[in-house]
Amino acid sequence: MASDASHKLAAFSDEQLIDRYRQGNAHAFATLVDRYQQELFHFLVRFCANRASADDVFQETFLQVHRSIDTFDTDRRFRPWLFTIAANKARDFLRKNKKQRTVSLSTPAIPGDDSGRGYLDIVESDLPLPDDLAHQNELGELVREVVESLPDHLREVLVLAYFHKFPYREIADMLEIPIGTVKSRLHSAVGTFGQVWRSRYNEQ
Amino acid sequence: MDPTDMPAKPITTLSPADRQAVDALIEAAARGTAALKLAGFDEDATTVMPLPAGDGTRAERASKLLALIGHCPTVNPSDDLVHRTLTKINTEGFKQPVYQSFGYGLAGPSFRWSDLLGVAAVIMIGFSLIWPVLERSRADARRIECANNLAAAGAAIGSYAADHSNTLPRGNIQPGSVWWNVGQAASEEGPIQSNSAHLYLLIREGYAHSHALTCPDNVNAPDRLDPHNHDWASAPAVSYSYQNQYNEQPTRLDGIPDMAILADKNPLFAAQAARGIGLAYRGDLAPNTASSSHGERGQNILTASGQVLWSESPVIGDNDNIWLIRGVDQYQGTEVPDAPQDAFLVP
Repeated sequence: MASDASHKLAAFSDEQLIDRYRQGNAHAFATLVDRYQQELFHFLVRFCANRASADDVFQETFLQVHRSIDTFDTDRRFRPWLFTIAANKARDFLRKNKKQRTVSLSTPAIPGDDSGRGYLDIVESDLPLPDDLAHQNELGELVREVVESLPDHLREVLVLAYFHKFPYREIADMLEIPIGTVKSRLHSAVGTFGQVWRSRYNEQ
Repeated sequence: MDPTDMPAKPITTLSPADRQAVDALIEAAARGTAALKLAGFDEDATTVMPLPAGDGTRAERASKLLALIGHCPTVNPSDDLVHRTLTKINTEGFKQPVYQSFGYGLAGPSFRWSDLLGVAAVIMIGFSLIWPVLERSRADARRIECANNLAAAGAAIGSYAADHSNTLPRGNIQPGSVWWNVGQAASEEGPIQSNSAHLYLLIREGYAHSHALTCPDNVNAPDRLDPHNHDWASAPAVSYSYQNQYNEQPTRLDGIPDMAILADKNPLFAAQAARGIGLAYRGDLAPNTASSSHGERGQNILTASGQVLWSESPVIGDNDNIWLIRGVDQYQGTEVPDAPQDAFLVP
């Protein structure tokens, strides 16, 4: 029975499911899609900042997994491969569909260090943190707005590292960038979040 | 508010001490060795990971900042997402072979060959009429794609500048050396041999993808720019001209928002096959010649503010010709602008 088969498949690892799918077991693929529907969709909603876009990219991602299934090396882990495909699809989608985002290249508005680089000091800045906040009920929406306002390449690393707990090394492999760049983007994401959060929250 | 409507914000990084604290928290969470309840990593956590050594207040504040980011809400997928995804894949997986969908069977085609020739003739006539229009719209599409690539390059330059004291990409140079030896291999530590190799740092250091530095109208551009290389293989392979980086001081982005920093290829410095690697100055061309990248109709130009302009003339802003140095009309490949705000974009 299909339900028995599905129940058994649920105990298989991702890589075992891919093996089964290559042998023609379509239930194995369905199990993979079902297994990752929450986590991958959450990643895409935060990265694409739009539910409809996340829906489209989710389908495109698994369509690509299906098309490339024979190229996957089952000695490696499926999850990073899946997120690599999803991140590529999401980046293409954002590039084609988003209004041009203007990233200011001029001097940061806050003081810099000796080299002229703008930075946020978490201790010395008067950053409003959860313990100090009056509008706790609106917190989520405010945070979402600020996270979505980050440049795509910073938001991508923030979501992968913080929300999905990928190690820096794995993110570097996924995005084909040096590990130093991953760290630098994460620091910029957190720093820029703090900087924008301070100004946005104080407007409330 | 639509986030894309928010005004542009400068990129800000963390102080060195904060970077350490954030790295420690993120790496510990990725290892899964400890629960990071305080930083919002695990709602079911019963233990709190020891915070990074050193300044306890800083570590706690860093942890709370991450926890604040963790308040970013998300939405769950619709109930039928899995079903719709599988349906889409099934459609592809079981589509009919082409010969069946066109109705060919054992009995052969159900129309005469003369019908087919008539249809083909009509298609040919129609195609010849609309061909010029199609060609023009394709050229426009490539020009717009080029502008989008330059915008992506601008974002990459912004990221690079944020990490490098607000300066444009620039490697190790020897002041006074020749800057037009495009394709002359540089060693890992030696001085960079061509201006394009400074721009290539965006690829080497992972700030830009190949497409950001590739004009779709450049037929000599490689399909992919290898991050292990130091430069383009030859001058024709380079798509864009970049602000000359052979001044003694690096170009800082402070206070020059309207200055051109990257554009379609400078037509006045062309590859000279007879001279092998490198470029030569085309003094026979008018100084205001448009780039040949888009049929000499004009050029896409990226300014330091991140804006991309389409200009029919290379003379922009304060009467600045982006192809040449003010007051210089002969070039040997060692000339550099005296003024930091004098745009001089070369391959």
